[in-house]
Amino acid sequence: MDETAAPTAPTEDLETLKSQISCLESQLAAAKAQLQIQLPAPQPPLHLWLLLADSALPIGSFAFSSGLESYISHRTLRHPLNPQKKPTPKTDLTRFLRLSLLSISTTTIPFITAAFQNPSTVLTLDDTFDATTTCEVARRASISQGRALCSVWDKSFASSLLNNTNSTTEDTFPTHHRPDHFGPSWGYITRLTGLQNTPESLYQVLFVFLFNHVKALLSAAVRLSLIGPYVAQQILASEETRRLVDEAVERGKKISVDEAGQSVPTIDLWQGRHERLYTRIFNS
Amino acid sequence: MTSPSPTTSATTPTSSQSSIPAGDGLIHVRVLPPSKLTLHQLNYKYPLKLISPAPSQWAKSLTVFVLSYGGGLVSGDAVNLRVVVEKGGRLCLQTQGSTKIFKQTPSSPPTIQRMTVRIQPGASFLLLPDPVQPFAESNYIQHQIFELEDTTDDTSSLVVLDWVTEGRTARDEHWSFKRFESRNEFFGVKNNESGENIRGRLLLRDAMILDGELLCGDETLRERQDSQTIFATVVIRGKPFAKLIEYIKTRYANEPRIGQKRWDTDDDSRRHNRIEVEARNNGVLWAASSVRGFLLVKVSGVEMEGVKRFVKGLLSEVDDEGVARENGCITGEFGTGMFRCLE
Repeated sequence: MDETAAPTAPTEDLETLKSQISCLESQLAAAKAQLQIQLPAPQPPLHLWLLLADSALPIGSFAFSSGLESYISHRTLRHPLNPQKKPTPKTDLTRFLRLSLLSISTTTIPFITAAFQNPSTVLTLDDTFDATTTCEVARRASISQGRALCSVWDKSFASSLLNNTNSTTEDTFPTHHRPDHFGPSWGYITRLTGLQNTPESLYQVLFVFLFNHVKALLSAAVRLSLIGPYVAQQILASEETRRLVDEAVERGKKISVDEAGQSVPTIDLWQGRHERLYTRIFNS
Repeated sequence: MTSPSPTTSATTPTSSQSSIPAGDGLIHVRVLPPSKLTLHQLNYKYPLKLISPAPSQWAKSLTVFVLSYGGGLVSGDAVNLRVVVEKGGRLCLQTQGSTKIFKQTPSSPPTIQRMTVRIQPGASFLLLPDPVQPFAESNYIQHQIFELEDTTDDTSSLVVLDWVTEGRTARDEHWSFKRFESRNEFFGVKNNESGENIRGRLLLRDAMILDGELLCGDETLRERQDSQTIFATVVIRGKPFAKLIEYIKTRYANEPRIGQKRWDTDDDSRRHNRIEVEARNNGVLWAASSVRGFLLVKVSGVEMEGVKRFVKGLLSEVDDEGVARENGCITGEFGTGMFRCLE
């Protein structure tokens, strides 16, 4: 019955059907256009993040413990507020991890953010960061990794990744700057890869930086025999670590470069005293 | 406990000029020929108070005490002090007791102290105050800017001490303020179009931000401080203090190593001298960094007296037995009486 109904339909009905279709088509086109506007421009480049989050990235992060080694060595000189709760090597490590993330979020993250958002000012930012990083040991660690990141960019990544910059963006900036410090160069180099200055991209830039920092700390902790490799992965995968990194990103990106400062003064002391360790396996 | 009267309702009977805004002050040191140190200008207005004892005829330096009425700063107070030390001038700023920061009242802004110091070539500046003592629930911002005119030959010189304690221990206050921010910025100068020296490049910035309302994991600010009750920063630069800088560097290099066995026969073991052992026993921890032409020293401790003694020892260049060097840099340049706040 249905099959016979359609061909025998009167022409007027056909006309209304046609107009209905064209109406729906135009609606679809409008909705598609809407979707285009709402979509973030390019999709997050998985390939790029796999490259930059690689622990084999040759920037020498494995040589630095960001103060962890000194913090652990000063165990007998530290005075925990609550002596009843005897810290284990694992709780010592997780505490340091929290303090370190807090400290970086107020010292380094503002500079990564600024370098990513205003890449043409990166050299001034680098100079300001240099003036602001007053701990000698932290300075050496930052400069060593920053310069290494720039070398990796020049020698390995630039040939394939730099091309992306001349996409549709109209905001051009010089691509030849080579900042010294790790934070400013991270913000600048990630921008060179063609990432757009959007909140989503910035979030990823900061998240990967801090996640790399956590990985470096955990790797240092394994080599300091504080924890084993399984526990290290367990901490890395934990919801708490993810939340801490998230909080550090959110806290740090709201701070302007001029408001940046040390929020955990003991970190500067432990790290500064790294040179006074009798034996040491890390450079910071 | 006495409580200072609020800023708004107060009169300002002792201010030397009524045209300047509340909390403002100016100290201008000039050297008149042949070499007479004078206070060219000294202005201040409530809640700031400046006192300058008349210098003796042969005084090497001028001393000005920076005070506040009621011995502290209440919620909403804003102090803005400007200092100029002209060529050949020697100025030392001190306080008479810790700077107490009272709790923030609802709807009032943070307590703010700003200071801008211009140091001309051949001029020298000491800032040796008592520690800042932020009370529970206080909210304090300190911003000190130092402009060094001669950074080529380093004849614009300074020694700056900035320290903060955990609060009123007797009332069980331990880092229980809302927020504490201290920022010390050191700039060079440059010429603008009209030939004036204006603030130039940022040379060094030491910034500490303690957020009492932030929890890190489940740790409060007090727990994050590892039982340290006081943090001190000393920044030194300039030719006249070259020996002092050398002394501190050497002393830091000779600090007993951490993790060293007592029975070790390494060279370092003979350097466990009396003052180092005393500092260690007093729970004093310190680190020195040479950064961009400055020497920066960070000291912390579990009790105030130990840190005071330690900082005084550093600045007066004590030997292994704790005896101050005769004519050490600061006493040599400025004369005696510079360490009142460290007594």
